[in-house]
Amino acid sequence: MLDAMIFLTVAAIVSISLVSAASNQHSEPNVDLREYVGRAHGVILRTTVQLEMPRESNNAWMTVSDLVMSYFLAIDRGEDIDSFEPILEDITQMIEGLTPSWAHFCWTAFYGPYELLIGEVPSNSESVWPSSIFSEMPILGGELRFKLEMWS
Amino acid sequence: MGGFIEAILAIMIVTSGLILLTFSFYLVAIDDEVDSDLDGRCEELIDLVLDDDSIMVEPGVIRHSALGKIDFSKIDIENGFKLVIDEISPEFTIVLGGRGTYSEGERCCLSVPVNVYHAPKDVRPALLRAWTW
Repeated sequence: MLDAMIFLTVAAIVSISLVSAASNQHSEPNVDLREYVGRAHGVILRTTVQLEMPRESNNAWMTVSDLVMSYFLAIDRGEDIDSFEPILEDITQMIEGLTPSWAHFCWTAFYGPYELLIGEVPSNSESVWPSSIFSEMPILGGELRFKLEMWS
Repeated sequence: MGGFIEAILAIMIVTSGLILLTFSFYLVAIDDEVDSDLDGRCEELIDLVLDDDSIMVEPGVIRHSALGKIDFSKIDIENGFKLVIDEISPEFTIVLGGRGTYSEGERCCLSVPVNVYHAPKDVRPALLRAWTW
């Protein structure tokens, strides 16, 4: 009986050690990763893009944040948004380029009832690693909002 | 009596397992220290650019025309390194500086998203990358 108790005690200690070691592998993300996502988001919004204007002599150069605002205003006015499609593809490639190779991304812009989503929607909220890794940037007093999420 | 010997044997096996486990963690810790040293050098190179106000338009935005003014003499890195800017759209790589050629051994890379300011209407996304070995 005593032998069995001693054996079980030592086995329990070993098990606890192993479980503790394994659980440390999935600890909370470090500050560097949060900082990276925040920086990447700032870079995306500051980048200038060229929107081809079919009926005007000069193409419009604007920041990504201004372009998205123009996109939402065009939708709101019921205007044709085809001219935005190529530049939205460019923005997708840009975000892919800034996303680490191991990560997925989802970039969303919100304006009133409208929403623009680029990237993937996390299929299972539990699998988002970590769900808190995102950067949210409100513009125009929060009327226009951008959110960048990355997960493994 | 037989049960006692079996218990002692079991304890010896478990103890040897614990010793092996501890030794493994010790080796991992040593490896982390090496990585940490390389990480530190990468951060030093990245900060050399990001903390230099003479080449920054604003925090996170590097002036393209000032890239040749980076002063590598400010840092003391004896080992090999390479510092580049990878512009993403359009794709373009600018080598800012380096020393030596990587052949084998530990190598560390650190990437930081930045904008490169070419002109008032031409601000591009990029990754500022540092390698040390």
